[in-house]
Amino acid sequence: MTKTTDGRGRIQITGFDADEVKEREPLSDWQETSGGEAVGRWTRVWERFKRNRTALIGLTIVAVMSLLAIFARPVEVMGLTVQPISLAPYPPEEILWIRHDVSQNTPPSWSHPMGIDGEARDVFSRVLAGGRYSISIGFVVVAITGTIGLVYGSISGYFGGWIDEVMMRIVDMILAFPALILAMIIVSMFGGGYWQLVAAFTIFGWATYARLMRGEVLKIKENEYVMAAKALGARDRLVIFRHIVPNAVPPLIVYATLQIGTVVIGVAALGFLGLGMDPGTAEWGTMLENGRNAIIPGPGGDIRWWITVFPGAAIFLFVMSMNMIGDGVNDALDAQETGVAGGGDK
Amino acid sequence: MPEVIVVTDETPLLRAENLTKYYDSSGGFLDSLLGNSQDVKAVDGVDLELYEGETLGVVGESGCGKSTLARALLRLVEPTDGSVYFQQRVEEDGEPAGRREVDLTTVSSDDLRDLRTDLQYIFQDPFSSLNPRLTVGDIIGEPLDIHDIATGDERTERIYELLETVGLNPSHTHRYPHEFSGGQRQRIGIARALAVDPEVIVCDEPVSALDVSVQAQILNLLEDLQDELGLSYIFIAHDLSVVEHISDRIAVMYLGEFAEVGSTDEVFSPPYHPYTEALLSAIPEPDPLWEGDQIFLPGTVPSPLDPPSGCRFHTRCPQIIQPAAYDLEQDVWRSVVDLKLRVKDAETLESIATVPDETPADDATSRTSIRELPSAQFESVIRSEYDLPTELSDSSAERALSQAIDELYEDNVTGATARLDDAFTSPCEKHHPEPAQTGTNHRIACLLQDERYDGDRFEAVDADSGSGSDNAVADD
Repeated sequence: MTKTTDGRGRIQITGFDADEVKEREPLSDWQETSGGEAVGRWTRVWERFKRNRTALIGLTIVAVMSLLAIFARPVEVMGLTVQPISLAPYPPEEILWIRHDVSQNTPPSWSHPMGIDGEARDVFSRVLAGGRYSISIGFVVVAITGTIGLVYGSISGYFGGWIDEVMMRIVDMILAFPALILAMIIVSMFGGGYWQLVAAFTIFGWATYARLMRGEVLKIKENEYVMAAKALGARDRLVIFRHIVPNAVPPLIVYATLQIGTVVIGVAALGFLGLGMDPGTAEWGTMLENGRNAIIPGPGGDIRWWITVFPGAAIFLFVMSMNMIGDGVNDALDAQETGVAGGGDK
Repeated sequence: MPEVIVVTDETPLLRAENLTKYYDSSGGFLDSLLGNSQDVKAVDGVDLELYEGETLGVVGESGCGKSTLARALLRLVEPTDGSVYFQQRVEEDGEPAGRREVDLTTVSSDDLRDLRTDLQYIFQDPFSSLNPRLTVGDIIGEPLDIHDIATGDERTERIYELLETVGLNPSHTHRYPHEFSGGQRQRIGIARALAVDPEVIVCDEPVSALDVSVQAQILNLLEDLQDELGLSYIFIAHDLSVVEHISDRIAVMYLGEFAEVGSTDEVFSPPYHPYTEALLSAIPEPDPLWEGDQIFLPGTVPSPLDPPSGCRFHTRCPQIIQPAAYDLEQDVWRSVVDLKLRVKDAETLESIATVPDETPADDATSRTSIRELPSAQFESVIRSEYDLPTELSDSSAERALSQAIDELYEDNVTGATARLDDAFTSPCEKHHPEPAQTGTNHRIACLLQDERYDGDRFEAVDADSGSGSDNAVADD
């Protein structure tokens, strides 16, 4: 019968003594051939995005609409024709009955696929060229606000404390007002026009990006690799732009993509309220405003639907496609985070 | 394992004095305006030395301030107080020219950046310590870029070399961290720390996130690197067997303070600090016939917001000292102190003791409150709740205890607190133990080891030096 003991170490387990292990297992079964070439992160996101059919349809529509807008009329830069192609049959502002044999308010026909509006202008030409204003304002505004918000939010989140407190109270003040009201105030102060519209959506539009970015930065900066970078002696700038921003930016990209559509609607809304471009301009929202009286039945009792339906459809199509792209980007970036195959895509 | 001989008269490479880090626990600037701030005393006056080529292990329960200590040492968090001295290599005309002592807590941020090439850090979690957006080459190359150590082909060469040093394949350079296992990621973290050719590496639980078989590999790697490159480690862990394996000296930490510091052999053999003894008894023993005493510490670690007075371990210490007036059994005395501490924190009678559930099931909804019990039963409930005998062996102690219980019965919690405080106050509650030298390199911060304390004589010695006893006899 073995006696019990209160002394330790009667049983020696040698196999677990690391000094005694002479033959070690290879560190991993990873082989050069089993890995495949390392692919960059954005390549993987694109691969995932490509498999999302809805997002691809959206991307195609946006691409086609943008190309149509670019090639609608020739582009001249400082008297030099940069882009000679002209897809639109007539200049968007031209009043047709002066030189052509047409009358006002003609319904769509083969020669004028979207009809002729109340001022005898070709609606098809106007819808094509109108994309230039709406779409480009959308992209320009998002690029500017996104950049400002990214930098502002990163600084606020990274440094924290009083800096964060002050910066975020400013954002709170901006976010307290509806964005469209702020845009209207600016447009009524500076008047209508392309750059005025851009300013109207930019000056206050960055606040949401900043808030979003700050939240992400607060989350990312708790990761040990941020402290590791500091332990290596990295300066704040390097830490922010190399370690924090690249990891914090995906939600911002998703939001920005969706925001392009919102800005286009905002521009159209201002145009519809008569606050956007000059009344005659071929901009989708302004066109709707011009065609407002066309909705009311005219003397003959007919509704001139084509004057409002086509610009409206253009806005609808563009914004919907942008949202489809946004969702696709969201899924593509999300799945990247978890690395779970088949999570976000099918 | 080749023993590194610690020469005591040598200047320590890294030395911390009274290192302190308090975190402000207030909820924001409004709170601090209103003065509602409270400090979390994460690290409270730690002294440590690290000699060249040695490994100092730091062990302690989670939440005792190990990681904060590690970060404060390298000024990754700004210490509240104290100094960290480092013997920096000085070069003149490219030639090594001795060492110069710098205080890490006061150097400018530029100098601190330079010091980062001497002092490095290995992180606990290999999954969050590597930037998922950078390739392995960029991660390891980053310190090279920051300190302009190598560029171009030289940089690539150095990265390959570092990968090989830590046992990875140079062909891994262009891969991303997520393509590696935990152990491999920790190797990448080690390579990153080695890139600047440091002298001291603080390892913050580098193996606790890894599974056991990989732990041994990483520990061996660290030891090999130490032999090869002459590194000194501060090795933080909560696993005693890991620390025993790798350390030359061990510091045991409890609630932001060092309870015991000594060479591995000294810490693992008597005399012990009571806390160390409890930790050691918790090491699993494979022998099925082993019947050693496991010491179970009652209660939880007290909040660092308001650490216990005197010796911070006195709320859980099984060897808490009795006042000289009593002669109670040790576990009875422990129970008396438990009761006293509970009464002190209690706001109502119900939080001191509950009535054991003996009532039939139909009566379960209306549980009797302890207030409704008759006096005799009340007393027995209290005594059984705290494992107190029906009568203490010491008559004066018994008198004080039963009076206190009577006062509790009359719902006079404050009165009972005062009476218990009056009658049962351990020297451990009043006096902060200073580290007492018990061997060449061995210091234990416990009154039992303190030469000022000798049975009842402690109070007498203390009365002479007055309230400033802590400072007056420090560094004895």
